[in-house]
Amino acid sequence: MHGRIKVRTTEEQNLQKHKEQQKKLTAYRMGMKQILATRDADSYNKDSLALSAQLLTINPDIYTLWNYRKEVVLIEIKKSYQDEVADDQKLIHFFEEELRLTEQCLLSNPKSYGSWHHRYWILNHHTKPNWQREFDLCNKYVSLDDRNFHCWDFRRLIVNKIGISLADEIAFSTERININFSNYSSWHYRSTLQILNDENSVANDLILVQNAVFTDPIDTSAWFYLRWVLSHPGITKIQKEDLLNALEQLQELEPECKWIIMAKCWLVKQGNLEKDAICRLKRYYTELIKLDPLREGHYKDCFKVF
Amino acid sequence: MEYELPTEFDIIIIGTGVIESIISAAASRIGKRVLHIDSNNYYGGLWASFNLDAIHKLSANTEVLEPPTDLLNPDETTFALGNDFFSLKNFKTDWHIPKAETQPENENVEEKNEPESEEKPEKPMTQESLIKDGRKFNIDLAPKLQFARGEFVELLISSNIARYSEYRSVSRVLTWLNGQLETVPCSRSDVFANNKVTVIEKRMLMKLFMALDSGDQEYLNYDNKTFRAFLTDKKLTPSLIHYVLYAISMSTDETLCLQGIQNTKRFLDSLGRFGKTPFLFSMYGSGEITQAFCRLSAVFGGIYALSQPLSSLIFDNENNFKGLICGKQRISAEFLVMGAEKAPPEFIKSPPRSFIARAVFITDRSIMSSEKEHLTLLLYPPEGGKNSCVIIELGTLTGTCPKDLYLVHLISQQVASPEDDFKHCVENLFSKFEDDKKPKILWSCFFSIPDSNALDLKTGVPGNVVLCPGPDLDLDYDDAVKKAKAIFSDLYPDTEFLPRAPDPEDIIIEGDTEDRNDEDEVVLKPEENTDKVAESETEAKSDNDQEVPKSENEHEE
Repeated sequence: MHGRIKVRTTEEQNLQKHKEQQKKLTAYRMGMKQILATRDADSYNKDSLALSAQLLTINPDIYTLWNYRKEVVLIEIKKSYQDEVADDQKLIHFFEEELRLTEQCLLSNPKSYGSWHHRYWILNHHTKPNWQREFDLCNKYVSLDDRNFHCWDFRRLIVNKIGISLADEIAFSTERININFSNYSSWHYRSTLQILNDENSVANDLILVQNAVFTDPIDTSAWFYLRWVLSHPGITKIQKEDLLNALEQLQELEPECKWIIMAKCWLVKQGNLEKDAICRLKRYYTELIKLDPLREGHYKDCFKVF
Repeated sequence: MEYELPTEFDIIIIGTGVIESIISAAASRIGKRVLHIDSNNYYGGLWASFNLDAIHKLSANTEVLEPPTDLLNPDETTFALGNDFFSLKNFKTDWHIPKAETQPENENVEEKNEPESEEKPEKPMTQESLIKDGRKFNIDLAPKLQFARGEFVELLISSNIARYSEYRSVSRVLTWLNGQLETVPCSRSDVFANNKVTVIEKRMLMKLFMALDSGDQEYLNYDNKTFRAFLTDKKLTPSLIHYVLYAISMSTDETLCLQGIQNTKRFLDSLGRFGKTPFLFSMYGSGEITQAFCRLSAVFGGIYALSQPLSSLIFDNENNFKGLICGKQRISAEFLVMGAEKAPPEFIKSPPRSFIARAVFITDRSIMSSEKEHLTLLLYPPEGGKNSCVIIELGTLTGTCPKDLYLVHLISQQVASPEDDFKHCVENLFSKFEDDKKPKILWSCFFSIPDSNALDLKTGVPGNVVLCPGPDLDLDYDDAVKKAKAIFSDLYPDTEFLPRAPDPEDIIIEGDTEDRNDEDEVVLKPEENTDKVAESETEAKSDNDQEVPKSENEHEE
């Protein structure tokens, strides 16, 4: 989670920690040695496998061990094909064990590249993957920390893999935004769903994002989404004018917020408000430079380009 | 059952209302020998909760026992306990459904047009079916909500009494605006998601919230002006003023600006701690609250006795309290604390002149239907000469009523009578006929609680005796806690009020450096419907430094 304070430990606790670290280090070294010694192309040592699980639970970032386990899984798969019996229960059981291990590792560290990747890799090889469970897992981790990009990416991978219904994902995205609209990841996910395919959805999303920027103009994630929505060719002139008026009103309430002016710039630049576009832009950019002097050069450039 | 109580204590407490129970816990906690005693066979006194059977049997305790005269010393006098001033008035219960399936007519029933169930495949509700489930009801006389960051919750946490009770968070706050029920936007996400408020109104509301939060100094000029005037000057639209004035700050048109601001801050401060609204409700009813404090008192040695034959108090010729006559025993103590309703009538100099109007309904659906069950607080604004009403709707998940039924409490400062005072609410929110949309009242109960809080309960009362007021109109227990604290520090000055009791998990074994018990975390017990409680638990945790087993930066790559 973000913004956590680290606790300073005293000298004594430092020493204590160092001792514990040394112990862990020795255990780790011995473990790795043993596992790598027993590596083989055709078979694997069950003890080593168990040992790797232990080490990974403590530290899921040892990608060597994840890859070792992948090798073991491949061996198991090969064995299962060679077995005459058509029953893949044993194999499925094996896969489930791997998934359980990744879940355990995720509990202790929801942001480990290794755990997420291993999970996805297993699902790709799994003969009967339970995708609904994966969605539930995603939902759980997103609600624990809605900025966990591993989780968002995982969701995107699954969606691409099985092609879920758009309506469901839109509902999910709307729900996330309702819970907390200050989340760039939620907005970004929404934009990847490619939902702006008709005027209705454009209008709806315009309203949604307007709600966000008005409720909290300081939150930048909503402004970025607004810019993206505005870049859609389907925005009508009336919508633009309405938005412009609303932004003017908002500016009266929040004169210090540069994003409102920037939004006005986006609107005007878009075209078909040509009447006094250049004049307005000049005014806007002058205001922006006053509010945000550190970016003076940038604003001057923006104006020049137009 | 004949048994004898010990005959000497440091303090005797008569009555198990909230204030008495808090004092009992505090005294017991600092090592005083406490006798906490009640003539009722239940805990809670005027703050108790009852199941459906027991509430029909509530009667004023008017029996006056004759004290045995051989227990008195010369020069001592007695005063008989118990008075009529504070007992429930105008108590009335009514069924609005038939008694049983085969008997559509019954003299007990206030007949409502119940069309034959042509459309409904389920059986119509009968008194019989409700009474069968009667034990699943927990009907509070004085229901309350707790502010998540209010004094009461802080007391529960600091004293660790929190572990004796469970809570659910109120999931929505409603108000009555322009002839219909509207959700009050409390938090940022509420304001965002609300589609009855324009975008500019959203901005204004958020600005106001943030200004109040940051301690804006502007309102110092509004010393004698009303909160409504302040809000109007801030250019809030009428709807917004309604939400802020009547709902969020629970004020009236006459409330002064500073008070209104304080109320608003109280509301906003408690947001986000345990859920989407600032409020908690005690599972199984507010009657559990008194029991939680009694439990702590007992843990530290307090002696408890219910159903006691209390007859009178003994005073010496200097008007000091000497003892209590209970059955055949004389029990003495240095101090006596009692609920105002237990006191001898001679101690009550001025009878109560204001009352709390109350109504309780059992209904068949929510006042505002939705997919999942809500715990609703409806703040009904003042209307037509009537005062504002607090309406609390409880579903089965609160442990106060059976499945598919709702318990609705109405509380208001009485103007005429409970039935009169709530008539408009009843008409607007409930139907007495088969109406698909509005909930039907299956059972109703009206009564008035005399308000003992503004009274002078000190004059004419002997020095070592204290009278405790009963239920008040405050939504939370803050006032009750204040009063209990004041009484306690009068009795035992320079002592600590309910210091935290250690619990087993707090004891740190040498060498274990990881554990830090988060003081802010109220442990809400897990339930089947996990969305409310789990949400709250996560949110409570995210408030503080979370202890996560450190996943190592110490490994070697």
